[in-house]
Amino acid sequence: MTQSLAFKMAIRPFGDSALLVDIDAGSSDASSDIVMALDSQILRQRTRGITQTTPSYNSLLVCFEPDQVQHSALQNEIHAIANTINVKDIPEGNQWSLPACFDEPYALDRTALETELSRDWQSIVDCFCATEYRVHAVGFLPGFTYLGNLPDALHCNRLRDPRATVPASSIAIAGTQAGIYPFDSPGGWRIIGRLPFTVFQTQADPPALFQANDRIRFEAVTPEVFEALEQRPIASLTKQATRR
Amino acid sequence: MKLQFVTSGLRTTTQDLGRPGHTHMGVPTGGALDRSAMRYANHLVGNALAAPVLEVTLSGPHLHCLEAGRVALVGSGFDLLLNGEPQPPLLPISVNPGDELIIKSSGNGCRAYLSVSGQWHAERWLGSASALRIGSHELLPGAVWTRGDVLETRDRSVKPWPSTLLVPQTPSKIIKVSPGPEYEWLDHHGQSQLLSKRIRVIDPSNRVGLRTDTQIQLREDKRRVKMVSSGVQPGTVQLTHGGQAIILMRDGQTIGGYPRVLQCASQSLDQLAHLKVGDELVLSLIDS
Repeated sequence: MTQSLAFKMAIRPFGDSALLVDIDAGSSDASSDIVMALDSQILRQRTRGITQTTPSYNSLLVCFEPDQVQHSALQNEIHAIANTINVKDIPEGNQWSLPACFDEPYALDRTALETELSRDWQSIVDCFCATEYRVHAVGFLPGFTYLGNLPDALHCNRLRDPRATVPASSIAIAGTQAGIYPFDSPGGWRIIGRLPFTVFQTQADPPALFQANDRIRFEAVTPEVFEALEQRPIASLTKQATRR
Repeated sequence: MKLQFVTSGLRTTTQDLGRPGHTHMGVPTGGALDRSAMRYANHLVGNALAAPVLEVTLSGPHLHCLEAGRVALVGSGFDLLLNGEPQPPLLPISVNPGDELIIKSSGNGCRAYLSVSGQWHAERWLGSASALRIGSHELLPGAVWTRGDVLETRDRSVKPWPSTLLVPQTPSKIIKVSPGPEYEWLDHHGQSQLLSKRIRVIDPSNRVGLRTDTQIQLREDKRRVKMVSSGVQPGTVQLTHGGQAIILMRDGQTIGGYPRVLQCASQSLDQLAHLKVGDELVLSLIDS
């Protein structure tokens, strides 16, 4: 069974060797579906001249080799592909259930968030863990995981002054988004907890544990369980993140 | 050929043409910032044009030769000294065991490329030998050179072949740009502040991005618009909320949330490699 998809698409040149495809399908989830479907079809058809694509929320950046294909020809090809995509082209993605610790010392912004959201910590954690998140994009940094569907009750401001170092594997929220930091890096999002394993390993295949369109749930564990999980070899930790 | 690092210089890394095809995981393409210099340096010693080279930043290394071979230095603002003697630029230099090679900044150089004849035994990640540093984390530590390291290549006695490959241009301060996706978020005044004016590179600037000293406001009605994060590329000029134009470089982020006001022309990307803190540049719109 195939079902065609309704959406608006605009393609613009972005410099001499890229096109920017903007998608509007009504909601952010629906737009994300179209971006993923279009990306997978463009890659599957091995369109001549394309060097790489960068999907993100409601847009797709398509980089190409100007020696091999012209802007206008590639625009026509992308339009032709867009006309053929349907529901079955939306990649499935993995479903994950991840152990995470939301206690101190991992919840760096606990006190500030309790004040800003006018809720106690347990209800904030319960609310966060009751939601299934969608990976909307992996990027900015290698493996940085952008999660959508953050409950309204948890929408919050970024830090006025970003931290010099956010620890690797920290789980963060800011605005309407949640995210996972792959490395120790500067960051302005609010830190609510941490995963007991790394989400980006150069020696893994693929290096990024999560990909766009995966679904993630978090299960709160105690600091003792967290520490025990941290001691395990990485391979078994990754399996701990069961695909349902 | 075999070379030992007596000193490493400020930051000397292995670079090739990078690792395209992984931006969906947030991994930048990376690679030599000045690709035409990299190719020309390889050409001069008879290597494949896409072979790895050493990218030198601000201050160069001192190398001790353990096995004979050829090297070539490409990049303005640096001199190649062989046993203390300056060597003519843009020529392959034969080096013998016991020789000392020094890449010396003449004070105004930012980056230079040293090719080393023969087949490299470089460690690769995602198909590339290029170093990549994210924050303080080295993703390919073997591509960063330090004192005592030994660079060894397997000799393939290929003579440099005649070529029509162009000698890289002297770096220009004029960077060709085209309008970016959010160019219209600037009014005429903002556009004129950003274009055809001398702007200065400020600290911190590196392989991730060049910061500039601009203070440019978006159009009144666009100042409070929350942008949805979207793809960016090397050469994208982003404007921060503070009005600072940041030019993304080859190790830059893959997705950004700031307005993308301009995009540097592909042919101008190589020139960005030679701009350091304190230098001035001019962003010049391509006539269309």
